Amino acid sequence: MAKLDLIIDGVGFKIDISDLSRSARIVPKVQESTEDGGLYRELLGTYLDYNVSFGIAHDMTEYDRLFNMLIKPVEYRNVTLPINNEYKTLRCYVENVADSVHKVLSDGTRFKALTCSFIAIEPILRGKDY
Amino acid sequence: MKNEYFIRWNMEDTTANEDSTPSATQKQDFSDLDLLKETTLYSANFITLENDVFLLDGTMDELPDSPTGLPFWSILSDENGEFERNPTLEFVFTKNHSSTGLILFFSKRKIPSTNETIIKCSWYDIGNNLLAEETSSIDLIAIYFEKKVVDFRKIVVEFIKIEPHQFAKVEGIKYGISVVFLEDVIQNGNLSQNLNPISDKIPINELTFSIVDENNEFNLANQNGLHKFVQKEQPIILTRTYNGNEYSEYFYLKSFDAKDSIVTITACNLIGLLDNKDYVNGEVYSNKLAGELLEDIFDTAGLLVWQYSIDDETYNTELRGTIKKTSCRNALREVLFACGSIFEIKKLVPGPFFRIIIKKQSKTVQSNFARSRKFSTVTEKAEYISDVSIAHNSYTLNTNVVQVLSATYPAGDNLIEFTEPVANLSTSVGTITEQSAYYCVLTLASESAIIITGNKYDSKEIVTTYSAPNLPSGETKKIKTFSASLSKLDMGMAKAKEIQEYYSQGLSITTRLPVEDESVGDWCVVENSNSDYADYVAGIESMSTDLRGFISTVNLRGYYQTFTESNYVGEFYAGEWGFL
Repeated sequence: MAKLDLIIDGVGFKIDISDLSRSARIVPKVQESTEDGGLYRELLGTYLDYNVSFGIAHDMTEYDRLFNMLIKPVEYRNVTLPINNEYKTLRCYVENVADSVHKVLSDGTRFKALTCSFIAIEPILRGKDY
Repeated sequence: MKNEYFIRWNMEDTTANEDSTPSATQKQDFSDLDLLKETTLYSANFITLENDVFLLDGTMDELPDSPTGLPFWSILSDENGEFERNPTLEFVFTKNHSSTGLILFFSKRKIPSTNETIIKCSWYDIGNNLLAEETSSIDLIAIYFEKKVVDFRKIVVEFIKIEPHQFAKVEGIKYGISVVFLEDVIQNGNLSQNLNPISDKIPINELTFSIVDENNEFNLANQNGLHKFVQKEQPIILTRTYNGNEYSEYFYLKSFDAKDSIVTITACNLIGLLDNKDYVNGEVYSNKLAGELLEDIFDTAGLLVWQYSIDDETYNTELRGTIKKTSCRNALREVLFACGSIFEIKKLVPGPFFRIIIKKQSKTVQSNFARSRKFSTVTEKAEYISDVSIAHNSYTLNTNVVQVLSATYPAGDNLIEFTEPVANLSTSVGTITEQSAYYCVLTLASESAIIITGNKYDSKEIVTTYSAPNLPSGETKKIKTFSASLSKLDMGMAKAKEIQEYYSQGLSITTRLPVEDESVGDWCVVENSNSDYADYVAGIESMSTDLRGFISTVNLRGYYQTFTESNYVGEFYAGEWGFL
């Protein structure tokens, strides 16, 4: 994937996104079994979550800046991601931030395989509209 | 099933209208400004020679020579929509008022305007100093001047520019704007509805909901917050859209509590307002029409005639007994208990208004709680009552004139209340200017020691007891006693029997399900969770509804539905209507 900016709360990051996957959560407002064994559902909406993997960082300063941004205990974020050759912004929170040691050098430790999830807090489709 | 809802809080100054004295300049002589103080909007649909007003569709009436029922019409605007001298509408108040703004309601025009309209609203304090000013240039049926103003004593509305060759026609005014909470900002909400089928109690329905106060509008630490404009009894309207149909319920603010950015708001229905007013007009009755008593109770509570209706059977019930000083809600209990009637609150169609409907409970089955709809059902044996006693007092006027009171009172009008009924009062000093069975007003020229004499009533307690003739097997005798200050003239044993029959409905059923349009007081077929057993027929006594999805926990009281063959093919089942 081309090198594109990732923007979190208005702060841009120049870092490779090696993998971007999304998953749709269809969230019920009410979901309960009825006495005859059926299922009663009323849906709130569909939420689109993103899992992002970043490639090997060549610029460790940029990598650390992103890592430190992702692990900040902030309730909600506005994240802009490159999707289908355009930028899309979602209201979300950050979860599952993880990486691993790539190599230990004399001037410091290099990390790799940084991943995180952006969990949407607003539905992209609302149940009432369907 | 799709449910949506929103809650509208009319943050208006609830006493400003009543306290206002309207006046106007550059108005038509027939303008009746006092009509602006009423809650009803007076619509004008008259033929005039104004621009774009007279539609030739036969829907408009000829303007009479001396029109009545029109609140405010200004003089005619010129070809630019302006005036030589601007018309003004002024409201003066005797007390300080605070509001979140002002809404002016204009006569509905059939052809939408494209011209600029300029209307200015100014607020003044007690010293006639300008507090705030707001100009609106939007031409709508209702113009909102959104401005938080504290402690105003005067409002002046100036019509600077309107449509060319037209009258400015104001039909109504509201002192405050509405705040709307949509479903996604409401953390949780609950609607509690209750009914006592024997009217031993008059329950109040309550709406409770919590919102996240992101802007600290309800935080008392914020001196500019909306909390400054919160007043008890402000209208709060819950509107539910269910499968495309819209239902509304009207409530009145009872309390709000802000803690850690979460604001919890509690509102009660119209019955809650009856709790805040005392009924002091009680007399000793020998054959009083229940309808007349109810009218007096509702009038004391401040309800207007369109806010209630009474069915003929209840209205014409003759009552005896008395009502001592009590809340209007308790007074309503006495009348309804004696009549064996119930109440419900229904929306008037068309229009946004609600009324209390006094009626006899109908036991027509209106709903079917099917297994395919219910999440759970718990059936318990209801408390069985074999004997019902009703105690009430009979009053006879004692012809002996006795001393009722001896005390010293200051000069002026003194309200004296009595705990027992009295009649034919006279005073040793001063004048009794008003008297009722439970109070009198004594007017004195100077502080005086007075003696009030009059007739007292002899009271005799009468207890009527009904015992069920056949005790069900396994049950023991159990008595329940009620007290009533009013009773039907021809009551005898019938009332106690009626109540015992209610308590002989042996099953208490609690079920959880998504509610449709059911309400308390409705009778339903409740399908047994186990299809091998008989279903239930029961009346809804309470419903606690989670507004998220409108899932209700419903409490009912009833009995097993035992079918005969004809019942099965009859009118009772599967959403049909039937009679028990």
